[in-house]
Amino acid sequence: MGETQAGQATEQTSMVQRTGDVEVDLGLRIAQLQVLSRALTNVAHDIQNHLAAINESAGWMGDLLNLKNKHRFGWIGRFFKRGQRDRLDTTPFFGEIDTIQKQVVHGSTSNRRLGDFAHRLEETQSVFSGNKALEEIRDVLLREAAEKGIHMEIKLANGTTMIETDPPGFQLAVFCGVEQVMEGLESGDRLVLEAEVREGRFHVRLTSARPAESLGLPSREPEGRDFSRTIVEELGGQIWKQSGDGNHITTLAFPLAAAGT
Amino acid sequence: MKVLLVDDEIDFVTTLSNRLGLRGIETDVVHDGQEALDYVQEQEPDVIVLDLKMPGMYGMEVLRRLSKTNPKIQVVILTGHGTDRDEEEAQRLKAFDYLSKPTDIDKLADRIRGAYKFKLEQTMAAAAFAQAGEFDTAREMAKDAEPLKTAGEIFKDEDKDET
Repeated sequence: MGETQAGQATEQTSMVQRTGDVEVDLGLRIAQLQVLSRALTNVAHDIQNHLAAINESAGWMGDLLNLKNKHRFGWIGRFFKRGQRDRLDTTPFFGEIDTIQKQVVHGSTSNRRLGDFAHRLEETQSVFSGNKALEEIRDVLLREAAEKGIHMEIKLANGTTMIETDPPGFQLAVFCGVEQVMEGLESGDRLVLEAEVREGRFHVRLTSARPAESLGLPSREPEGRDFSRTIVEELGGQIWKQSGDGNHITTLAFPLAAAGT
Repeated sequence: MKVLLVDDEIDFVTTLSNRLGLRGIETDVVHDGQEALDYVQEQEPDVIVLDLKMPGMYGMEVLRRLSKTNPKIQVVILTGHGTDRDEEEAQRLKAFDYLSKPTDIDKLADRIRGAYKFKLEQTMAAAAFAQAGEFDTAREMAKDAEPLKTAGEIFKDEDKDET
């Protein structure tokens, strides 16, 4: 074996090694996410139960106040009025109960989104709605975007958006993609998450006025590939960046599920 | 109307029971799946409001067993955090409805009344077929209904009208 051949062989071995490392790294990260998601799903479920209990208790207070008001004017009201010179105005109590219940609804909606996002991370290869999964990613990133002053919009795809892939992989790739775009944005900037079904694929387009830092979470190795690219390609999809008309677009494309699945 | 509430969150389900009582719906309460199945063996309720995530037996398993042994009992799922798959499974097992916690008490009361009404209608229809001598149809009517689809659609329409 000549020197050149030996050099090529070494290079190939090193590439195989690197690819293997990336796969191990990816598998490890997904496994970590799945463990975390299980914990998160359980916590979200507990929180939902606590919120439900608060909601019922507040509602019960309202019921009792209503009952008292009703009885004040009925025959039972005579017993309530006895010895009661200044009647208690219950209106502020109802106002407070209303506030508690509204806050419960807000908290519960956010918690449910977090729970849905976490729950999807637990799944393996399956058929799921691309639109819904994208909404969940948007929901968990909304607070971060708001803190950075970024205005995040979502445009969902029309028609069927059922995709067949690995949900944690999908979430990780899109999540990292959005994070990287947000890294390059400043307060007041706009980021549009747009879904479209095109040429048998579910496209997620991330459009902003500034370029993304990279295509998703960058590799730990300086010469390594972007992490999102590795994930998307492993899932049988593609990822690319393009710029024009003052817009910078990162697109992630995933295979649609076969009809009827 | 006999209603059973099945939930391991004691504070929650006690208050829920009180609130339903104020709305004219008297309820009994149990705190896990096995207790629910034991209760059903002794006194068959018309409607069960069933949580999914409970210690011991998962609510879906209770529904699965009830759909085989007591298909006439109407079940309303009331869960803290169900998944799409849970909802599909509940639909397949012919649960009357599927609600998420926290829910509006009047909405829940409506669903319970709707489930009871549906059960009565099924029973009456089965009786009518039996009286007409169509025993096979009567038997099918009594055990095999598609409540979630029918009733769920009716309520969805009502919700739309409200908004």
